[in-house]
Amino acid sequence: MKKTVSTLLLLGSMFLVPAATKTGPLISADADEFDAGTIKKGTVSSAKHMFKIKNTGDSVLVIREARPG
Amino acid sequence: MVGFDTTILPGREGTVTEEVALDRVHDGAFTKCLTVNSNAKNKPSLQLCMKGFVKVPVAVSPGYPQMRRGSNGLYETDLTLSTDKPDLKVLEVFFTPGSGSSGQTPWQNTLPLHCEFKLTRPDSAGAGGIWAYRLAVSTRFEEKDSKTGEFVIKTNHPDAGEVKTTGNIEASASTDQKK
Repeated sequence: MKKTVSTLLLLGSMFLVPAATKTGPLISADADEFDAGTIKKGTVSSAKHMFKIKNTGDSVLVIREARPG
Repeated sequence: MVGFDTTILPGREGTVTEEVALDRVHDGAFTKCLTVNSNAKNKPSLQLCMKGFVKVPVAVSPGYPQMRRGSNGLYETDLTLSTDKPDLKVLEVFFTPGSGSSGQTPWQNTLPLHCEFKLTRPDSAGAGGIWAYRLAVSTRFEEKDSKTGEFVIKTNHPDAGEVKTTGNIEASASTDQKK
């Protein structure tokens, strides 16, 4: 009887453990800062950079807005 | 301007694009940041920054040139062109009146005004290898009202074929003083 209870507890904890370590969405950028270097005005009208964003978490990452400032 | 992926699945990558228009950036060093707001548990508000240095191939000073009538009856102004080009040449200078004055502008008044000019090269380059050329500009101007517009300077600089700066022609109220 004791053995059955401990087995059940073990099985139960196996289900509980992943739930306890659930991280939710996590954001990670390849770099927080990009150096565009020296730009000659007149040759280009703008400086553009694409930041790579990774979701290192375990659920969907939703970006609501990206605003200047 | 900003562009971004709205949803990123677990373990996947997306992008946030930042574009900085140079006409909104002063010459010299700049840092422009974005705040990325998301449902992320670690950083709900993430800052991404772009920095750089804007160099102007040919800089004009003063920032707002004004042409005034000189003793010879011509309207004149002196400009300084700063550039790292040791063999700068000015090909053409004209003034394009803009819609600075109130009311409707007759079409004749929007025609570019041709200017005479004389470029003087300094004996040596200044700090940072920048040559400060003096550009004396003069033109014939017969009107009574002052005009705001754009000075257009065409040069042989490969990155600055056309340098523009806003300024005006300050009409002289005095009567013609010819003998």
